Amino acid sequence: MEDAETNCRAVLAKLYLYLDGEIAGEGCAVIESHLRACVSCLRRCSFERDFIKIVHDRCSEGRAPEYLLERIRHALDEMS
Amino acid sequence: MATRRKKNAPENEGLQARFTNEALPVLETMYGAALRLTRNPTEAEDLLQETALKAFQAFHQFEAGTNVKAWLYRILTNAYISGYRKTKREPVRVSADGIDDFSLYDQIADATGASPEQAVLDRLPEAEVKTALEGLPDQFRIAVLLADVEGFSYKEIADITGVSIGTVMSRLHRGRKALQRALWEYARGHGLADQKEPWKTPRRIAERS
Repeated sequence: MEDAETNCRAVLAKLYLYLDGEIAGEGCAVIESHLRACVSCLRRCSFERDFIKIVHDRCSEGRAPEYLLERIRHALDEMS
Repeated sequence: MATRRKKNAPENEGLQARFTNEALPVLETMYGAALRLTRNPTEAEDLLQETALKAFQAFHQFEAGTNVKAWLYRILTNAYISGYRKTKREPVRVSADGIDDFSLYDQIADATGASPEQAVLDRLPEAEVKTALEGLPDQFRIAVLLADVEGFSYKEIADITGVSIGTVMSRLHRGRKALQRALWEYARGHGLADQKEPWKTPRRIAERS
């Protein structure tokens, strides 16, 4: 069996892959099982997840302004 | 004869209708990405319009049923890189040198003596996060924008930017770390990680109970 520190390092190395939904199946289960057992890694994982969410929420803009959409529709009409 | 199709050709009308139904609604949501790329509202408007026109011209090549969002972001990203990138005054750059091991979590934990919690991140103002993202070098900025703001998978980002998945992972990793370092500079500069006032709220709650 691997020691706990090795497990932590292995999990943290794949943290972004895990958080980005890029690990499926057994790999995912292994990480989640470690996170259930290791508070330290779980906290780090939550923090990184929160950070990504902050970037998402703070940098999203919603729809383009209506005058721009109007301008684009007009330009498309001209072209077709 | 001109290769341009006649305005009323049924085929063309079908294509136009499909563009209006499938591509336009996505384009309408891409203004934020244009803004994060150009860092300037006027240029973001021009970039989005250019993207729309290029997409319309190329729409007959778009394979129905495939990922229209990724296809449009590829056009946007390429238009930005070829037309906007070099001409602009550069913002204050966030260096990505020696960034791989930077951890905002560790910095906050060291400064406050506590485990960082979401409250810490909640205090980062929207404008600062945008500025920090816009200050990243292009490759990192594009990776973080596509993954974290737009929600694309590694494979989609690889297709959009024309690099390998390994390169996407590396750019995303370094981009996130550089962003954390920039925001750490801000947090430290504004006393948000002051040891005497850790960014933790539970103390007051604990005193009350």
